[in-house]
Amino acid sequence: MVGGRRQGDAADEAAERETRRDAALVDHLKKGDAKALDELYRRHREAAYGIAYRLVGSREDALEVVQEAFIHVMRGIQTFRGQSSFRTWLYRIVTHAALDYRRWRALRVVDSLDSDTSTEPVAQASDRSPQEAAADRDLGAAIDKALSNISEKNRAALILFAIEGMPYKEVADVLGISIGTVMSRIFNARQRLRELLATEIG
Amino acid sequence: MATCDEVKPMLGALADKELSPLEADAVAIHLEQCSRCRQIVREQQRVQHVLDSFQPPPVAEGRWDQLGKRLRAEFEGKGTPAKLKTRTRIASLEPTPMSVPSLRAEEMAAPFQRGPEPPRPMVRVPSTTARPPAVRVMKVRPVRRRDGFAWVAHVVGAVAATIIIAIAMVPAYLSPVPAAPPSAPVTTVATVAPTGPIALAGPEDVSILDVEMTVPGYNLIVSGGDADDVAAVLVVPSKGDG
Repeated sequence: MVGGRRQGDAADEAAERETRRDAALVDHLKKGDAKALDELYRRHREAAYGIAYRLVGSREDALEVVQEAFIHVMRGIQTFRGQSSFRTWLYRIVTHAALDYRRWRALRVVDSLDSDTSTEPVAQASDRSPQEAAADRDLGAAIDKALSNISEKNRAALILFAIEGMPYKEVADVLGISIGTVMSRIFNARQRLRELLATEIG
Repeated sequence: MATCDEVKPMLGALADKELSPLEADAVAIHLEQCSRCRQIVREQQRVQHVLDSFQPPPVAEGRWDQLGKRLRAEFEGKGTPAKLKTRTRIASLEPTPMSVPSLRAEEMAAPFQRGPEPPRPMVRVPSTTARPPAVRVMKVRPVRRRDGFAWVAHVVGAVAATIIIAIAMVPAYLSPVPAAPPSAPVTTVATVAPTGPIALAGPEDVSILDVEMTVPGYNLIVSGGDADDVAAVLVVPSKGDG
């Protein structure tokens, strides 16, 4: 128990150090230091990609969301007051950008159905490489598909907690909802996933 | 003992070890008696276990570098600024440190928080307005008065508004105005003149949240205000009406 507490304290201290480092980099970025941007990008790109991928469902789209999210960061950095951690702010931007991107993408699909003159077709299953096509058959593809069939709100909460490892409190901060709402959204998302993945997980 | 419906939303949080000791104890007592809820906890854990093993496809280091260079060029203003597919206001969504029920609730509560009086926004009325639209406040709900002498300002405001309304409503009466639903009590509190400033004041403790305004051919945007009155209304002609 004592060991567990020490481990927890060490994790908290490490998280605190990370937060302080981010805050220092944000200060530098506000002063126009491009190296600060590079480091913030390196520190958070994987996590941002993880969130974006689970929300948009494709690697290319997720990378585009990551790029747009960091551009939003650059353009909005002067308005960031540090009331939350940079990480929470960034994840919130990524989540909103990914959901926005999905809507944009859905409109593109409608447009391309209305008119075949679109010069930038949306990614189709046939665009996938043989490796990716093969991956469709594995559990990851089944989870992807199942995730895309649960509501946006529930999915966002589940992804931030279950996949990105955020505690409920931080998920609440990122999504701007109460902890009770986080609780029910995550519960409902997992119940829905259980139905959708009944074959895969038994 | 808590019922299934009461503990159900907490079953996932129990599996995630996100409940307080008090909540966890209450759920544990229920679980001792309820096999169905125990089954739900196991299902939640099983789905979580599957999700734990789920990783997105990896991205090659070269691809990350390419993206990083593009961001750096954007930051340094080299080349054409990126045209974003996502909304530009996203970056302004900074979470607040306090826990709030929802963003919408927080925004709605803001006008009710007492503090230094903010400057009242200017009200602009389109000069091309053909005739003064009547602003009607419907479903007015009285709220508790909290300021000792705020009523003086309200009385003065109400008298001024009544005079302005009486003058400005004359042309409006010459043409038909859509009737309010017979069941809804309607109180007219303001009128917009075609070119002049809007006069708008709650007669007595009007809650901004209960205000609904309808003017055919116009969009009305309420801004500012506090618990006791409405600060301003922006009148914008609807696009469809040219």
